[in-house]
Amino acid sequence: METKKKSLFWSLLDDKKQRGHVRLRFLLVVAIALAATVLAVLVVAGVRLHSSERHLYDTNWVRIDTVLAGLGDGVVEQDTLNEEYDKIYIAKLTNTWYSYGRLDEEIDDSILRDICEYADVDSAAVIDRRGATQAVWNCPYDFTLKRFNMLKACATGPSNVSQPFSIEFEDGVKRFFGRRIGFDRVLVFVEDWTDTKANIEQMTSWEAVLRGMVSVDTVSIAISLNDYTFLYNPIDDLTGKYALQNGVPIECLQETYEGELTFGGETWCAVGKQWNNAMVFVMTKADTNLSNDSLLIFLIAIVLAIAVGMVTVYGVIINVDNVRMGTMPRFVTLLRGKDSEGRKKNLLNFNLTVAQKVLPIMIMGILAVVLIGFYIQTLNSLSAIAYEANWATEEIGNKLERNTEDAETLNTEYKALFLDKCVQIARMLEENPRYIMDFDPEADNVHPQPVERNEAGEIVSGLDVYGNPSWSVSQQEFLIDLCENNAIARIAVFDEYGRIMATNQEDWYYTISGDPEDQSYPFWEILAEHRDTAAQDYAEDDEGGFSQYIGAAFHYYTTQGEDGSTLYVTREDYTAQLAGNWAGGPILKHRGLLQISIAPERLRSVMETATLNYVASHTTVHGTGSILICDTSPEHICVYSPDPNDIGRSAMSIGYSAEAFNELGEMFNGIVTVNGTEYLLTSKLAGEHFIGAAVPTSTVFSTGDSFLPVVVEVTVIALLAVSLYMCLFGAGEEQMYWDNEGTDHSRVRNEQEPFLLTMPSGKTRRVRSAAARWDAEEVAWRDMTPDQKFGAVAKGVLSAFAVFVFLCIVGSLLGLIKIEAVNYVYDGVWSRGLNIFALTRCIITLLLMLVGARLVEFVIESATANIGSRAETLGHLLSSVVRYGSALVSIFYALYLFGLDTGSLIASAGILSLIVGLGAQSMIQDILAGLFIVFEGEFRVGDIVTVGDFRGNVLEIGLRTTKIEDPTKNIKVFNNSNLSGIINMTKEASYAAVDVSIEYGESLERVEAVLAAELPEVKKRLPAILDGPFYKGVSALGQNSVDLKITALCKEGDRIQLCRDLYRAVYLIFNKHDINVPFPQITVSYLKEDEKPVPEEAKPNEVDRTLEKLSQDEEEEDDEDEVPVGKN
Amino acid sequence: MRERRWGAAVLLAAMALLLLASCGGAAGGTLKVGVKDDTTNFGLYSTESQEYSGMEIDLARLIAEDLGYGGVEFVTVTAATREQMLDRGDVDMVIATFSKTEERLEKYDFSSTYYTDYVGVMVEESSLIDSLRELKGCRVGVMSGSTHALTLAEYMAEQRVIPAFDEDSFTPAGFDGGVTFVEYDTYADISQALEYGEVDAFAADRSILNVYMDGGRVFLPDQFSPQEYGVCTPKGSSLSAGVEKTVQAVLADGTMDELVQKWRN
Repeated sequence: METKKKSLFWSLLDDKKQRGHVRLRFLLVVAIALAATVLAVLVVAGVRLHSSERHLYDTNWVRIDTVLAGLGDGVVEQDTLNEEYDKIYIAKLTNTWYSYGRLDEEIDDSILRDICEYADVDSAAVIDRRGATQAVWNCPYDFTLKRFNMLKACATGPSNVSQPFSIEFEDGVKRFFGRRIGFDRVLVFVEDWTDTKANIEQMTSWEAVLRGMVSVDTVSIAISLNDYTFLYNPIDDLTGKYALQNGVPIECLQETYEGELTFGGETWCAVGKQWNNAMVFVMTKADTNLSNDSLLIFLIAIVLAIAVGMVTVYGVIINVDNVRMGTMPRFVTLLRGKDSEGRKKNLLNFNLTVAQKVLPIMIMGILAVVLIGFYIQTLNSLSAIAYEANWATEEIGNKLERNTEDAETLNTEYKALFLDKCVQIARMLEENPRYIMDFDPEADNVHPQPVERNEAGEIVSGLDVYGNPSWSVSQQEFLIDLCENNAIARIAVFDEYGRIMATNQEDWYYTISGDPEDQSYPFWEILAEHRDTAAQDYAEDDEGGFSQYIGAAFHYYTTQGEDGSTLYVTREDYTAQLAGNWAGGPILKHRGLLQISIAPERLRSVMETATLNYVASHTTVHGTGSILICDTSPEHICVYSPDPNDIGRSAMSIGYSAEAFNELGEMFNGIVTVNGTEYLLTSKLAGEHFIGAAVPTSTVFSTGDSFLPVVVEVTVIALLAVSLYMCLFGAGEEQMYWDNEGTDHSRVRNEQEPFLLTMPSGKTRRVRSAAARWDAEEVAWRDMTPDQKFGAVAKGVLSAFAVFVFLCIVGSLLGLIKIEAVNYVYDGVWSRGLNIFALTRCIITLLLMLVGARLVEFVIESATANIGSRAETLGHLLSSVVRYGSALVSIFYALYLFGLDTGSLIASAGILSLIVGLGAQSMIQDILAGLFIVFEGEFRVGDIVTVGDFRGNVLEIGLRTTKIEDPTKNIKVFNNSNLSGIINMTKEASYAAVDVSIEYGESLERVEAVLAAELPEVKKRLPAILDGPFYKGVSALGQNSVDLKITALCKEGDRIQLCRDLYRAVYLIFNKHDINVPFPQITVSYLKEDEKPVPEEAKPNEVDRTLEKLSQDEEEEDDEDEVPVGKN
Repeated sequence: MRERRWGAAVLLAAMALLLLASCGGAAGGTLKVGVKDDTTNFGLYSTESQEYSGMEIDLARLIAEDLGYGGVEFVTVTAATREQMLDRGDVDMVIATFSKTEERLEKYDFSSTYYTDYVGVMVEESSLIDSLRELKGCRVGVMSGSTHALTLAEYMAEQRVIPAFDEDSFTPAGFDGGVTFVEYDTYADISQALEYGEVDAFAADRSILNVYMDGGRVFLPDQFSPQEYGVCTPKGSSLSAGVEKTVQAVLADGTMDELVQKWRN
């Protein structure tokens, strides 16, 4: 019963036989903690995803109303446009009627042909009320058909102009215009309308209306409800295709619709509304927000899981270790009680020792989750905004271009049409000057022109050639009529001096300027006979209104009446005079000007859409963001801003920073404060303007603002819960501490290593030997301290996480998975400097470098490991190069990303290298020496070398240093440049040489014979001998002995031991054959009998002892020289 | 162990459900329905999607479902062929804008009326005709073989626009009692003739006229001769009762209204 009360993983420790289960349950606890965390995050994520999808739909519901309103405008425009074209032809009819006064008479086909030419229409006819034709030109239609009742009706009807209508014939669309031109006669103009119709449709098509009304990753489509084809669908070029087959279920085509649609393999969140006979949808890519959000949630979930997992693992490790070691922790009892036998016991304890250790980890975990969460979210939001802003600036450019093209097309068309009209009117007035020249000088609207004189006092205007005053007629009735009929805003007839003779306006005084700088100069050129016509672009005029001025040469003809008055005559009279058929006075020809100005509605609206202001105000960025446009002048005058007060001010005075205007075309991201509100400004040079997208910082995190606090809460709760759980233990566990106390724990953990080090602060730390670190020695799991275990787990998990992130990033860069932020950081345009994109790029690069370098190192090491020591050394060196090289490149790259000019950094490398060179001279020497060591192969790892006095085994040849270990296991680190005069003792086999001495007097021949017989036997006993031993003769005739040299071939590693063995063997041989080895003998001679005797036995003994001692010392030294063999 | 048992139970249940579902399908077979393939909103065949669509198509599916069929096979019929195909048993029923007449009621079983159409007259705006009275002396385009000419003439006579005439000897081509008729083989031809002015008016069912409506055309306000479309089955067919029941049901619960709404007329 009692064990069941114990917390989950403690109970298992009861049964020590089941240690295997310990690991299992340990994993179980971790797994449960992780699962709970992930579940919590997923729930939050689900809610979050749902709300973000909801947000998408809500936004689209707002958008669709704008789109529908725009569609309304589009259709109105189509009607307006049709009307305007119609007006032009109706005006032609009227003008023709005015010009051809003879139309009252009989008309034959040839006159009609002239009319067609004059009015520039395809075909014409004159019909009566029954449709019978009186004259036709190029007009094969049967007007008696009821189809043409509209034309016939104006012969008798209340209106003298027929409403235009089109008929679609096989050879194209024809439009019919009719006007009554007398009793029961209708003049019909027929014009080919195919191109015009197409043109109008093009300009007001669904595409024209829908294409402009989009935001980032959002499109509008329309489906006809008559035939279920796409009226407009830019995705996969579906326009015109059958909708029901291409991803639109019939159920969508209701009054309103909200749901998902699939086009082009992508899911779109669509809302739709019916509009007339069509269904209009506004759709946003479903995964735009979602993928970003799910990535965010996924990453934070992983980080959270890692944090929770770490705390759990650490808690478990400490607890298990404590129990195993039988170390009773410090604890506070929270709950006391009694067991079944009535004994007091602690039911619930709080483990202070564990708490003390877990707490920092917990705080670190919370900090990590919050920081990483905040970082990822910021990155995500900012990259989303930057992406949108990028899109917006580009879109503005595109829209401007498109609209300008449209406007140009229209402008050209209008120019041609109205120029045509202007010439017509001029001709008409030449033929019938009475329309404007017959006036009563006494009338209110007739003004005498002021008389102007030049410097010489000659009259230049105000009086005509006959000395009569010139008149200017304002609000001329015929001209007013003409304007109405011709859709002209203003007509003015100028005399040869450039003064107004007649106008439909009130303003009667205006002078055409001869100054090339002035707007009216092109018209002066007409007067000066430099040109016959002039058409200006639609533009802002002197008065601030928008209009288009068109002018044509206009001739008027005067003669002097009998009373000296000025008479205006027709062109016909003038031609008659030329022909000699004129009875009156001489007729003079004057070159004047007819100027019309038009303010076409359609052109105006198209022109308006072509302006920056229009485009900017119709582009949305991230909900509440807006577009700001400044020019490229040094002051950066604001050209467009949603706040009209800002327009015209310099950018700095509004609150922008100067960095926002990068002349090189780099994108700027930064915070600016305008009118007290902080904005995230993204700006970029586009053409002749800086286009900026400003998003209020308060809305930057709008898509995820509900998310981060929840993450923080979940993190804190989860970590607190786990930590608390780790710190609590019950009565059962307490018992286990007592049970384990006093048992032998040396078996549990190897306490020899690591070493205990007392830090200056007084705390003890466990450290490992340097060699162990260099060798990356593995310590068995059960030998590890809890901290080591935790370190190992943490290292593993973090490495796994790094690899995971690495794979994610590589996948994203290769396009296998889609992480917007990563792609933006890599492909997007952002300013270099201390910003989050640069930081992210930096982190990503470092990670890539780190993992990449590790991979390369691994490959190099595993490739060179089994080839040989030189390859290994080379591999080692290569690894160093890769490691340091990647670090160096990363640092430079990071500096570059943070806005430092690395170009000049590298350029100043000359000076830099001088400075560094002086300081790092020895280092460079070391590196060069290292390279030579490796490439010349003077020695390799594993060789036994002697450097100066230091003899040892080469452990490692680094780029800068070489580590040599002597037989006493001390490692000496040499700078490579100091490695001179190296004796490499492993190049060939070594000779172990011993000198043995025999007494003078001993027969050398006998000794040699003995050695020759015995030495081969020695070889059999000593396997280290490769060849020999050889007797090499007498090496010296010493003071007291004859020294013989005996050598044996062996490996260098065996040499020292072999020498000892040889000495022993030779000594044994000598003993066997009674060959004496001489030793110093002191012969004492007594010179006098009475002198004090020296104790005879003492002295030799003393000497003996000394000798013994000496030889002992020598042996010890020899021991020290011992070199372990084969430790390569 | 317990989990495993649960798993097995769930698996069994799922398999049983699958089995049941497939049984139901197999038992029904397919229902052959004759439908139009050229009438927008009623029965239209798309060569692109190779599918029929329209309110009659939806109705046919509902009927098949109610009668327990596994699916519907649509067969294209025309005004000229539908009776013949029904007689020969090529189709089980016809749902193809088939209007009830006394003649037809004698030969076939008809369900309740699911849709009532009228004959209407469409004219060009530019002809300035805006009432039936002005149609006097006009040429009217009609579909050859249809009854539209007769019904129009009758209606005009009824409205005293033209004098009464002998209905029995009426032929569209030969009629000259104040209005003349021109027969065409397709509705598209009539539409084109109207465009060119060869005919002054276009008389047909409103549902058909809708298809040829455009900005320059108008309907005359009069509409007459209601035509009640019913689902047609051979006389005494075993299906008749079931069809009637379904049609009654869809009319009663508003499904038919929804269909009409959906296919917009």
